[in-house]
Amino acid sequence: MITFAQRRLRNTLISGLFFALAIVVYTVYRDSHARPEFLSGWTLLILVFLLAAYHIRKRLSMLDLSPAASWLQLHIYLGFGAVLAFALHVGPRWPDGLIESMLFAAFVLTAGSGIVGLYLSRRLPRRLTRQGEEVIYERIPAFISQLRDESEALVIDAAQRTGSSTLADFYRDELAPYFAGPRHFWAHLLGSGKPIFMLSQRLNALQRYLGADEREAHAQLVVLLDQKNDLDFHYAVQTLLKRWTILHVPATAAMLILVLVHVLLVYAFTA
Amino acid sequence: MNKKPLQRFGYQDSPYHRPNQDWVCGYTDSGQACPRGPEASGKCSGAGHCEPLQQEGRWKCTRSDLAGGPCNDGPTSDGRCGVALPPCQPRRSLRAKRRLVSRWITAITVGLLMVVLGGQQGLALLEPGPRVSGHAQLQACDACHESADHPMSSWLGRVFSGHAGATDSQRCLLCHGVGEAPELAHGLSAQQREALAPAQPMAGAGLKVRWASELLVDPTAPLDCGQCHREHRGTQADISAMSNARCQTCHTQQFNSFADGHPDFEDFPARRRTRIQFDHVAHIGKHFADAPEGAVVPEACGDCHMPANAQGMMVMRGFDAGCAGCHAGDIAGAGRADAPGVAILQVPGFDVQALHNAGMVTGQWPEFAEGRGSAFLESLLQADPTAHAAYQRLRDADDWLDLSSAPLETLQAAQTVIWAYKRFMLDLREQGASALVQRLIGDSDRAAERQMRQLVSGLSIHVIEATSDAWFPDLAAEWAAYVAGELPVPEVVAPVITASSVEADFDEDEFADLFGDSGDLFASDETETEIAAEPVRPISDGIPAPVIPDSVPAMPSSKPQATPQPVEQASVHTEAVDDDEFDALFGGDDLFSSDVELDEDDTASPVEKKSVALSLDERMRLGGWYLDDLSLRYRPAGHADALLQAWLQQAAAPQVVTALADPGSPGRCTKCHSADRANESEQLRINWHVARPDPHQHAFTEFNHKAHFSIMGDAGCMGCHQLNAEADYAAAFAGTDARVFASNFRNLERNKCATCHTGGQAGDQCTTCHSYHIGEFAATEPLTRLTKALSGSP
Repeated sequence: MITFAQRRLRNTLISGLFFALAIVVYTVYRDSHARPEFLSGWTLLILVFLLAAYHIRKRLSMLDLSPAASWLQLHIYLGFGAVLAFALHVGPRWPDGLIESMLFAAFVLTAGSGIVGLYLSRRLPRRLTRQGEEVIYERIPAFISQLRDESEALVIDAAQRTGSSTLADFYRDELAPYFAGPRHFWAHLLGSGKPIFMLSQRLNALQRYLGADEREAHAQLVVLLDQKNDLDFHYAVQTLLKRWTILHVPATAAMLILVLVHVLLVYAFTA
Repeated sequence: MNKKPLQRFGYQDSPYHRPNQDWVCGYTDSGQACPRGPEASGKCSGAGHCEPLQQEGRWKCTRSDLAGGPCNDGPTSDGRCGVALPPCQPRRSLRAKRRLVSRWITAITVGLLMVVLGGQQGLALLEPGPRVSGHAQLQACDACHESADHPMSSWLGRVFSGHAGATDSQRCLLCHGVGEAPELAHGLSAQQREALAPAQPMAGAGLKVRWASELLVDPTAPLDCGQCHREHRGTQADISAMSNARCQTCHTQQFNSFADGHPDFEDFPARRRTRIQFDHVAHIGKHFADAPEGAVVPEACGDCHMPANAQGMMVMRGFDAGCAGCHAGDIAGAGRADAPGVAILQVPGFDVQALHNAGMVTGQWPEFAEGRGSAFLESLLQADPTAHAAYQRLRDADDWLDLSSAPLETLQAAQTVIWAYKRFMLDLREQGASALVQRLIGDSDRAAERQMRQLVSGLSIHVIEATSDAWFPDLAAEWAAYVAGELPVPEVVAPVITASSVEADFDEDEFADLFGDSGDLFASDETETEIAAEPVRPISDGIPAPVIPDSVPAMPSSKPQATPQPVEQASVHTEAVDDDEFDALFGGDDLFSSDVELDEDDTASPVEKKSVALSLDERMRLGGWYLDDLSLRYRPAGHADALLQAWLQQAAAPQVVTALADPGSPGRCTKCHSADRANESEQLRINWHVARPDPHQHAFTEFNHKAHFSIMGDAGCMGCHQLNAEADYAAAFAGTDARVFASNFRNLERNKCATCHTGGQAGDQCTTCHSYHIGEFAATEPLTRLTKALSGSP
């Protein structure tokens, strides 16, 4: 059984070989008196449509077209090939024309979001497994609601038993908003624990003002707070993992349209 | 306290989520699940917790275990759920949102394109980038692009059907003239390229270049302008840039860089001898060093050479700056032993007596004419085929002054030439100098006629009349008689010629005046006996006599009546000249009252003394037309004499060109100005100018001298241009093939250039020194309505 690292190494080497070969072919072509833009352009066009075919493959799940994971691997490495072809095609400059600028932006947005998505899909799952319980994204709001209910019940019970509103007041002012829904989205994405640390500090500081009965409820609140923090982290990370494609896919659609117009103009005005 | 697990699996413990559907439960965000979530269409199904199932006549609750299992009250009797539900809250799933965004983006993109393409500025907005500044004025796309002439709806079809031969490159060529075959590499045919750079085995270049060369490059394939010139890359873009590798892939002799492998300068810059014969070694080493005191000699290269243009080509400063100090006198004829003027017309000498003896009619003919006429004679006779044929035949005769043994055909040819010459002289007298022009080029070639006007520049009618009167005093009457057949057949003279008979023909005093008192003209060469023994063929030797009418009047003696005298340049004579003035200018009537005689005449009047104080040559030192005995001469006025240049450029008179091209000819033009022709069949071409910038000539290699002045060391120009004393520079000018030469200078050393011209310093791009579009081609005409209409271009 080949491991992920071995597969990545193999695919990277093969892709690197192809890319090097492509660069050599391109430079040889460029040094001839042919127009290298046509070589890189047609290569790029073919790659773009192959990459777009991955989206279609996912929709045709009823057909036996090899596993989607294999298509994804192909999509990833062809994507890097497309970036290389694009770099050779355009060169180190921002185009000046309106159509070309739009196409350039669409490609950069598509390729950029794809590369970011690939990075996220490789880095974030590890963080997800390291922090808290693995939960299904769609269930997170329900789990947050569950924690909220538990914490509210805990605080009410403590208040009723002790007759002290210290813990309840703190909950009302500080914790109720926190348990109301996912919080600290950007802090979790950026890997910052400061917001939850500050909140925990304030909760811990409250302990000296609590009686013995309240301290038990306080200890349970700390645990719930930690669980809520884990859920917030999972929510933030999984949201990012799912939503980067909202940039990737629409940009691809725009790019495909502009590519066709670009090819039409190139052939109509090159004679 | 430990954390309790939140995630539970099992249909009774957790709801089933379908994020792949377009609609999901909107309550999910608040932690609640929709017991009966939205359908795929986004609608909420049912108003209760379950859809009751009828079994055995009873309605049974089907609420899921997850929602609490069958409810206590169960369905109503009519089969409706007894637990009412608030309506579900459909919400688009992430996938649906993504699809929606994609559709919006697609619609926006298409809409934007339609606005761009359909608007007033549609084509302009399609421009892929600013044009280079030189093309800034080309506002309309169809100035360069043929497709812009057609509606957008046709573009897709044109992508597949092509452009029907109308290419954008052709529109480039409307403004950019790059030769007759711009689609070929360098604008040259394969044969021309092979001649310039013979094919060689590829070596020395990198692997990529060799692959490109061997696999992709077809030197015979046509090239579009756009293959090298990339437009729409900014106003300051270098659209002529070309990589070294692109050059190398085609070039058969490949190398790594200018410093490593570039061919040495074996034939650069000189591929031919210099146009002006100037021996640098001899001048610098000898003539300048030995120049007499006061002579103007150059002290540095810059005294004679200077940059000609922005490209820094070095040219000569000109004759006046560099040569006149020593050579002006040569051209004017100072110190010449022979006449300093070119004999344009000269009376050829014939053995008139022999012609008479053979029954030929000659009329008057200058008795002392000798020679075969000037080099111009044949050219002047070319207009008359009969005369020209006669001249050709006559040319084979060894001695025109002794035709006594010549065959009849030669004698008849001489007669024909004589009358043709007289006819020409009559035409010249009656029509003026235009007769000379017409004889040479006719009336048809008006372009050449403009040049021919230069050939007779300054030849006034007075000079012509004086010449005609001197040579053929009664030409008009004689010609009329000849045409009428009224000229008499001369009497046959007995073939006895002795010294006494010669003496009898001359007055002794006159003879003494001419040849000196003591000289016996014939004593040293031939004895009387030898002369007397000269055979004379009687007319009865079977030679048919010419058909002459019986009533031919007697003609005067053939001895010239008037003495031709020097005539000053015609421009002086703007009015009719009366006899006294004429005499004052040209002397008396006696042809043989020469300057010598006049100089010795102590009895001459003061006016006469003044007029004869200078010799003929001295009086004509400023140049011009003049009559010198039996020659009408032209003396060059100085350097770059327009008349001599015109004659030497006159293709219609190759004999004249050949004669004038003699370095010893008056004017001595070809002493310095080399004459070229690749083979004997070609017309000699005199190089009037040094090599100098020609806007129509596009050299393969260019060197900017000016750009290198600041880096010259103490040796100056000679740091690169080193004299080669061993080269036989002058020998190359004995021939006419300019390609055969020995340079005055050693080959330039490539290593000197390569010390700076490397990739890291002054650059070693091929295009630093070399041009792609080479050869001779003119700039195209400006595109006006007229030129467009004439060329049929859009």
